[in-house]
Amino acid sequence: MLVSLSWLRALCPVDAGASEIARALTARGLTVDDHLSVGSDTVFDVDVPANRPDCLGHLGLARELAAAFAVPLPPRPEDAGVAGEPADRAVRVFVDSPELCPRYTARLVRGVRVGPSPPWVVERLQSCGLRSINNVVDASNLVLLELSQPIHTFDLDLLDEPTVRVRRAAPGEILTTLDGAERTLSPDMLVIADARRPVALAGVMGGADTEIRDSTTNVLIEAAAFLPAAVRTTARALEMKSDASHRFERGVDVEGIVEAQEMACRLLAELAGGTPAPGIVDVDSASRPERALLLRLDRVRLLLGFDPGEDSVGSALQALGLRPKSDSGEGFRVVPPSWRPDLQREADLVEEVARHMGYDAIPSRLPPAPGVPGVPSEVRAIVEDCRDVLTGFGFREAYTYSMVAEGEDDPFVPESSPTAIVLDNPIAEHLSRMRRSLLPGLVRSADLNLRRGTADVRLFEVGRIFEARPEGGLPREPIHAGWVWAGAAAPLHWGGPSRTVGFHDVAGVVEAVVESLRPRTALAISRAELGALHPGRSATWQSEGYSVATAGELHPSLRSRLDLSESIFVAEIDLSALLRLASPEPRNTALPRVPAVSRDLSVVVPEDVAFTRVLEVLESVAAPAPATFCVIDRYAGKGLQPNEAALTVRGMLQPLEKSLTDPEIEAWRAELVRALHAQLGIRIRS
Amino acid sequence: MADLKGTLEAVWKRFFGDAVRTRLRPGYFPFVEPGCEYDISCRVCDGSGCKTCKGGGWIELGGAGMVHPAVFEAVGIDPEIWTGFAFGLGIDRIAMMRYEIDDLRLLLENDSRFLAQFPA
Repeated sequence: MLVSLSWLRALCPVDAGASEIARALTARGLTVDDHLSVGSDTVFDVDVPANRPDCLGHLGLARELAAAFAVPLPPRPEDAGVAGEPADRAVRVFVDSPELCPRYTARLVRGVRVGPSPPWVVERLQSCGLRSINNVVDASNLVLLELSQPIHTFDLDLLDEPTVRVRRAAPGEILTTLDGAERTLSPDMLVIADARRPVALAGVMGGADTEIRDSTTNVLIEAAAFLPAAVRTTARALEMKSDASHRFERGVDVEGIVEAQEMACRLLAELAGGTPAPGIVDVDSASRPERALLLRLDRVRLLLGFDPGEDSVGSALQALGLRPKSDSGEGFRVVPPSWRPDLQREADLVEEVARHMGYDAIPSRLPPAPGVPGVPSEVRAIVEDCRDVLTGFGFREAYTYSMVAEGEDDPFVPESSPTAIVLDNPIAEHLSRMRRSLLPGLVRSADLNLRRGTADVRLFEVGRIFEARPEGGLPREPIHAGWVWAGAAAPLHWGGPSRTVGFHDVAGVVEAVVESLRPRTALAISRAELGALHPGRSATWQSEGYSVATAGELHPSLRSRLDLSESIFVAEIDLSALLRLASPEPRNTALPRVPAVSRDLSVVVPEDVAFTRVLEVLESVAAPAPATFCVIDRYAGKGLQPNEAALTVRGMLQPLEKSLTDPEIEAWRAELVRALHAQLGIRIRS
Repeated sequence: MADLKGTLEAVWKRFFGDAVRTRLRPGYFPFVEPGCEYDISCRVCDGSGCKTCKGGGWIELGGAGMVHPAVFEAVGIDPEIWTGFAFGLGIDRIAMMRYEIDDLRLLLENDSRFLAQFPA
């Protein structure tokens, strides 16, 4: 809120300079963000917290200054003189919806001459960021800016009968507001009406029909309290926030309404030559709960962590206008003033004491801590280990939004996945869903790097994904690790040219990460069924029935849809699933005493036969000793069909006790060849 | 509040170095009472006022306070017996201050050249 220093000084005569006053307000929780000179005035931009509606007016801030600098507030000016027919005989007021309007008051001022305001009014309004309109409208703005009580002025002679009726709008009722817009109303909105039609949107904005004009001579002043929630709903529904609605939404001081009327009458007499009518029409059904509070000194000591002493506590409460009464040396009884709705219970008073003494008075003390050092949880440990492994592979840790655009993560999750969780209030349209995969964000980051000319892009992220539960309730939030790899498979090296990254690079990292985090985990690999991945260059890994990881090259159609400049390889591991896997401790076994032997087979494998199938057949052949297999060469191209690849598989036999004879080994090799041909139609390469 | 202040001081001295000072200011958060915002002395000018701290010498880090008795009551804890303090901070803001990062967007872009400056 913009605050005029000269106005503050007029309400509370403090000698201190602008900077000192700004520091004092800031120290009391009314942060002065900025101060600047406007003409001969200094203007503070004060950040008023939501629980201090009283400080949305200069008087509220002046009360704080009075407490801070121990300067008594001068009394309010004398009431303006009154004459003519009393207000309650000239106008009738009905409040049909007291649940939305706890208090409604009206006063009348006759014989005003609408015209320009004097310079001091123009300057005050200017300091507070408002433009002078005319002396009547300006008077109501001065009241709002001083007392934080919005008031509204009607041209009395334009009100039918003259009657004021505070009621809910009829469905579809129409009101043209002061800004010239025609508003269609609904019954959850409160209006001020005359005998015929609505003339104002309660607490939000007045109507054009009854606004003050140059010809206005008689004015009806409205000062009221409206239900904060109702004003908020109306202002939101019609998208019309005003200085008035801002204050009504935070709650006005029901007891301050009469003073607001008085100030308005005074200003209309002074600025516009009007004569206030005697009396006030006051329809008051506001509840006034007893708010006597007890502040115990031992609670002050406990919550603040030091003992300010009974005298300091008492004088703080006194300075804040809380009228403390000592309670047999144990504490104080106080009755908060009506303008402090934030003071509801004892802890609020403890804060008041600290606020008045200054938070700098609170000493600094390190609480005693238990002598047992913490150990990282299982989750924390696997996350840290995963980071270390991926960093070791040359990946850099990235950090992306947890939200994605609608449908953005669809191709990255199985079709059977629950739909993405939709946010009620997204920060942007393209961040409206909670992610179910880390990959969309990582792919975007990889693409950005490629476009900026980075040749070898390796990024990873460890973070949560969000899965709705079919039975409802809070979502599952498993921790995943994902990574993307594009460009070179390795940095430039003098040993030779660098390959472009391929599927087996990214799959190798998957297996290395799993082996590192959960050693000796048995993994079953199969083709991945994700729309985002290239069907021939992707895989998924399972263990103990859990899906653990997926990796592959982005599908060419997705790549062109995302307009990616290069092929990108991706992988994602479910760390929460890994945590459920057993990882047995290793046990030593006796080392074999005889050497291992090996035989190589060069075979031609059709593209549609997965290597896992080849391996299954090889492992099913009875061997004269424990056997293992690995691929030592792969060739595709000249001399082969386009849908074929030549693999050289090395089979190793490790006898445990006695050496094997050549005929035993050759018989085994022949059986391998026979089985591959018989079961998979695979031939030996000649 | 004294325990809270001591803890915040210890945390930020450890994170930003022994020269750093911590300040509490009254502040409103519905879940703490008394509530505060906390600042640390500006690391660029050491509190004398500069562009980074907009001349004030202090930089706001987050909110804190004593757990509001209504929060304890809502979870069935007796606030007459138990008190507690709470504090929050913006993790990206801390990183920005420590590493002199002037644009929040850099943290979410994941440009490899940016990330390479912060090896694990």
